[in-house]
Amino acid sequence: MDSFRKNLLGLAALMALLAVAPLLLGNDYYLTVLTLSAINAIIVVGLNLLLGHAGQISLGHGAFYGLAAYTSAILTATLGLPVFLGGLAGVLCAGVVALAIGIPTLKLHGHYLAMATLGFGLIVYIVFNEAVGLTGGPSGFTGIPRLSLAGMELTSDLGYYYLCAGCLGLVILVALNLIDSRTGRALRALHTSEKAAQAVGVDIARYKLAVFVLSALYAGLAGVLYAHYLTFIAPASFGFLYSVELIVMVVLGGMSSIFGSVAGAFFLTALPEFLRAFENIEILLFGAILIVCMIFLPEGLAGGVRAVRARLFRRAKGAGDA
Amino acid sequence: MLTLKNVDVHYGRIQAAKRVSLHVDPGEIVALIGGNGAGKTTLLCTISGLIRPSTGSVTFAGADITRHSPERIVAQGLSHVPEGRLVFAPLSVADNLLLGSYSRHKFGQGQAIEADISAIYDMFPVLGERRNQPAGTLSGGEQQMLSIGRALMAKPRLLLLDEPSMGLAPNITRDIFRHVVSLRESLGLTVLLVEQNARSALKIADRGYVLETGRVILQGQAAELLANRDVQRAYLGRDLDA
Repeated sequence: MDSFRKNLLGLAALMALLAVAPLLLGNDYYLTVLTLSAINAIIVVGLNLLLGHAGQISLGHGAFYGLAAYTSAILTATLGLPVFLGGLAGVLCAGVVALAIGIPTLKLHGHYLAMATLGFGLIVYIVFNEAVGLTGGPSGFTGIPRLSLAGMELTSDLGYYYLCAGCLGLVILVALNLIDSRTGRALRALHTSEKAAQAVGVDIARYKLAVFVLSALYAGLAGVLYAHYLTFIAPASFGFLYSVELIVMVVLGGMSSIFGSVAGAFFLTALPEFLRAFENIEILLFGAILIVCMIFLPEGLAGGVRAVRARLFRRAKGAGDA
Repeated sequence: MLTLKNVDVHYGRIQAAKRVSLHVDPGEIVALIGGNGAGKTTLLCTISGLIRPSTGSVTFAGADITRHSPERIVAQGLSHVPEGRLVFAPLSVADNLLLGSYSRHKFGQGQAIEADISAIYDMFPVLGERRNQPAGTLSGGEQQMLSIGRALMAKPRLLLLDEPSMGLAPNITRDIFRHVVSLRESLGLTVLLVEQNARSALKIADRGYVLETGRVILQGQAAELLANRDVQRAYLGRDLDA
């Protein structure tokens, strides 16, 4: 079985898991956590393509997420456009801004690219805070309508959760397809060596830009889902810390694996909720868990699973031989 | 087939190639030799478009390619085997070869590409045995074969080879060089070869250029260069005064 088929099977399993998950939960609050996890996972899948496969870092993805959220919020709540149109405009806005930002910044490498995207993230954050007339400033933007499909407003939280999970499935499907294609090979090639990729004829500038824009579109989709879910947004949700958190999700989950990154997103979104019980030392425990994870799982959750599987396989084989 | 005219290359304020002119005729193997920092790799990168020259021109098969992008140059039939091999280490051998055919991708090319990959496996059987292995796990010599195979996948007319002997045992180097010669016979390939290992390079080459601090200081038939006293002293490790 080739890897793409295997991945499709994995996707089917993930979707089945996401479908039954709400039924296993004790209260509605956990459903909110699950929904937010799915929204985060959508961005993280895009970031995994950018960081894990193409090897380009971005510390500004919180900004794309926020741009889409605010664009959709302003268009629907202030200007009264249908939510569908507002959402579409939000996603496109993230994509167009990524295109404009990507052309000059993707010439940079490593730390410099990190700095440039960080600067972009900070500027967007400041705009959210200062353009009070448009965004409501630091106190936030209220009164965003809930998402409606074909005139039917999606009122139930469960329905919204399934919508987000469906979007996540779609986004993963596109990503898996991309990785398995000629474009995916080109991205991994430029990750390994830009010079060698150029030498075999890959237009590296174009591919870097394309994957950057795609990941921004993913972040935009997540931003729209977020805004119309909570119906309230504030700049604090889209700041630098959030961008870093996204990177941590990718790294903790496993850079080279889409499913690993998704697991990272769910794990890191849900973890603080379970640590609430420890009250004062919550943040401390959160940090400690991250450190322990990275010490024992240097290749992330996905790498850990692979290592365990390989060990079991060897043991089974050893037992068979004996 | 390939002509460089008065090429100057600068890295910031440092000049790495000074007024270099050279030419390669169809079917030739031409060696470019010289010590460390002579500008050999710089020249190859200039030809394949990875570096832009500050002045001068590069013509390939009658067309001026001085300002062309690297991907366009590859598509025109000029492949570069970079220094240090630069195989895509985490990717499988098969994926590395597929990436080599990147510039040829068109609808319906799939079968031709498959056939070319198996031709590469025939040429380098060890690559066929290891097709699903990550390229980074190959030995140095195997990686060099893969790097050459990857370049061949673009169906080049001219192959630029940058130090294929780097870090390889002498018998492996001989093996690689034998392959280079047979490529010319079987595919009619023209080769521009950069080497520090001047003796081996000149043995298989028709003509040679000697580069020193960015200038061509000597050129001629390979046999003449091999016999030249200055070349022998400087690059062939023979101390004539002793």
